[in-house]
Amino acid sequence: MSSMNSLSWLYAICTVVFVGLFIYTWMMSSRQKRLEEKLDQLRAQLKETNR
Amino acid sequence: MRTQILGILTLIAMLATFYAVFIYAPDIKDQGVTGRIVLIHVPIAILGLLFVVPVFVGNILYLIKRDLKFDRFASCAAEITVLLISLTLATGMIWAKPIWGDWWVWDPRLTLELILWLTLVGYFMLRAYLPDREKKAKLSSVLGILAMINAPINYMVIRITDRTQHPQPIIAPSDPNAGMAPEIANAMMISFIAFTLLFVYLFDRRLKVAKIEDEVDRLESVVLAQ
Repeated sequence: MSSMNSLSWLYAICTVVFVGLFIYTWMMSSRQKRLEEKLDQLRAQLKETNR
Repeated sequence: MRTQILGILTLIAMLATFYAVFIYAPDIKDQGVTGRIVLIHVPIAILGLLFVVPVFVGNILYLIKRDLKFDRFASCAAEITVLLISLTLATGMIWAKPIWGDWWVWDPRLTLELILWLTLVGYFMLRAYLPDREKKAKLSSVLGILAMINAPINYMVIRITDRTQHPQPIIAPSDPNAGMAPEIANAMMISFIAFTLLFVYLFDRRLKVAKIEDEVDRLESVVLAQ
């Protein structure tokens, strides 16, 4: 029962959930940033070629 | 603007969830403080099964209309579902250790959840392997539809078999012994609303990223054709 009454399991679960969510959000944001840079690059390249 | 409003609402709801889980909710009978894990685990698990529906709808619509925007919708929903099921499995294991004395048991509910996770991981492995966009969408649809077969069985399994260690449903209108203390029910509702907002927010952002991905692919093919 002592392990059942320990808050550490509750903290552990919050850590797992929010670390997981943070990693996913961070990965998505960096992917978005990379893609936006590539998109700008491609648009500039097309503009240059169409001149 | 819509994403920002959703983000702010999510943040407020998440703070309310922390208050509800750590301060407001009482301990759960026979499970002590650790039992409060269900206030996080159950909403995530329910959302994991609900998010399979947009995966299924997107894949079916793609197969009927052959429009890649439906495949994009389905693959984004599948990514969120993988995240939800991964969190369900992880939080379930953390609950199981102090309550059952083991991290994992080959229980029908747990096994079906693992199969659902593997099906969706297979969905992304297949997509990563196939270079052709159309082929990728067509073949991965099969796995997206298979996931939908798993979800209702997964939901029903604890109701149709006695050979399960998984707790019986606490919200069951047909069972007079089911039910939970009002404080637990309120905390569960707050947590469910917060996680719904959070995952809808993430889904919305993921859809935006997928739109940019498609635009990059389109422009790359234009540049290559020139």
